[in-house]
Amino acid sequence: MSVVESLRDVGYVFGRAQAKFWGSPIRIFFQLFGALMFLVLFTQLFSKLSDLPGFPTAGYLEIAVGGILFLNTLNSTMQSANAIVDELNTGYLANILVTPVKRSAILLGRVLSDGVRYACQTSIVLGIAFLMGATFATGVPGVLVIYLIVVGFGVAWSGLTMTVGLATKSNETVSVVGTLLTFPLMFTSTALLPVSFLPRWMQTVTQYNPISYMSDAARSLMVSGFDGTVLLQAFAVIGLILVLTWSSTLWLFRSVVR
Amino acid sequence: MSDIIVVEDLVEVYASGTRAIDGISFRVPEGEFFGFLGPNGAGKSTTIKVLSTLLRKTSGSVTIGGHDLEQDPDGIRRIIGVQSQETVVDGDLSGRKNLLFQGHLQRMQGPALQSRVEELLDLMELKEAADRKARQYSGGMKRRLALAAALVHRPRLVFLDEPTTGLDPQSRAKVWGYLSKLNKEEGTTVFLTTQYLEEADKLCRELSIIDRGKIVASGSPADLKEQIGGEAIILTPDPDAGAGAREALEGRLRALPGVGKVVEADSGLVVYARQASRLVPEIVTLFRGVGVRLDSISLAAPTLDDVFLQKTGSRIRGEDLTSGAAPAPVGGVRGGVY
Repeated sequence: MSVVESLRDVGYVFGRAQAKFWGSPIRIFFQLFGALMFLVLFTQLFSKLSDLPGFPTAGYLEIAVGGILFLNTLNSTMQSANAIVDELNTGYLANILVTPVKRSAILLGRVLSDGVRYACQTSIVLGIAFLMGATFATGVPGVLVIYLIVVGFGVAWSGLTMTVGLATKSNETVSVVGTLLTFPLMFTSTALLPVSFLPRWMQTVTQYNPISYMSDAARSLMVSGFDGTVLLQAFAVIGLILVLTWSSTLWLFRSVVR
Repeated sequence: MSDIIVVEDLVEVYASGTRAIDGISFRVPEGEFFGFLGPNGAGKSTTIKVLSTLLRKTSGSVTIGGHDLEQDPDGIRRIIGVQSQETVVDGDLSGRKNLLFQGHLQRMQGPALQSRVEELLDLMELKEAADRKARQYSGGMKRRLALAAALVHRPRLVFLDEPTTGLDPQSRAKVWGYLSKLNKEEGTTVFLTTQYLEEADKLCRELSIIDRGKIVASGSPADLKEQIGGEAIILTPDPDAGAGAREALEGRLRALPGVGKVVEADSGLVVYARQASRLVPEIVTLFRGVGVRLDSISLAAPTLDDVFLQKTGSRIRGEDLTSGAAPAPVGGVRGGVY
């Protein structure tokens, strides 16, 4: 009985978050537009790169897709935190907390809905890339793994933005921290350029940058094929981030609810 | 009838050290229309937040509907409805979806939930706007939607934190109508906080007056006003009169027959007395005798504000007693507690 109740609670929280997401077509349009803009800009900006000696055989498009997937996800995780900070500050969360709804369901339903959001964005980016002529070396199974990586990373990383949000209760802080992290993370990773094209010190930094592991995995699935080591590393990094960020999020959330 | 709320020696101390609730005890019988009347910052919202399981109490004991606040908060959550002061509805969802979601959280579903939602939309006159996003609603409509959301699961007890603050007189009258009906026809116990004297007087059968985290008086509005001992005579002596002269005045006023209390209020002196009108000539003579000019004199039936004034030495609002006590929105920033 209690399990059924918990699952229902998760379902209701998930359903509400989804209704809010699909209820605003403008937001979806801007996400589509954003993805298109980045893909066009990056591939145009760096189009001559693939002529350089030493550049991997694939065109720049396949390189850019990996990077843009995670650039989008980093931005999206800020929205996940913003939503809960808003509910905390307006008092809407209190409306939920005075009901017998399971406390865990409030977070879980939301995280699931965010996962769907990350997956939708992935579809948009991959869809546009496909129309632009990108190739997918591993076919449908590989694409499914790309979804898994993006969604997994998004959920893990949103633990970080949620930690910042719950600790400061300020959306400005979430945005500042999120944006400040996004650029260095993108540019000191292998997301936008093959690692051999980076200065030596940056090559070292990329090894400690989670985005490198994510984009390497996505790229290998698009360009070369299933690479066990690369995939395993990516999922290990996701797991590590997940444990770290979500333990702090849960700890902070528990001080908010009772 | 058994008591649905039993609060004993409740204390709430904030992390900042503020004693928001400073040892209050009270009981509310099931079916009662009960109110907390007090100024901003008196501890009204904090009390609701503690009783509705949102805020952890510092000490004391609370039992609601037989459920202990510490042992069984979910038991309490199932039988209460809460409308917070901030009036929050989900602006992204339609009015109807707001209510459905709130019902789901209270474990309602199917036709039972649907018919209840339609009933509430009807009652709150939101039927026509039911499919519009709530962000487009007017302030009064949002308030009614929030009230409906608190009532979806037919709670035995509703907490309403200043349900009419900031509403225009017409909307306020409507809300009063719903609340009376809810209490009389459905037998729902209502716990309401307000800073409006008229609201407390009109709606509440029992009330406690609260100031700085303490209950200063309790009883029915009529009983409380009865305790005042007669009517209020409001005097405005010459503001330039010396302290000595004022003291002499107060002493002599107290000595008049039938005078209960003399209280200094911001605008002058308030004398509480039985058969007050008969005292007017004597008071005028008395002022002349002391040599202080009397700028104005007026009589008023006692209000709950007089009760507050007698108990605390200040008014709930710095408003002229003679103005008829029409409720007006009171400004000021109120922060959430958490």
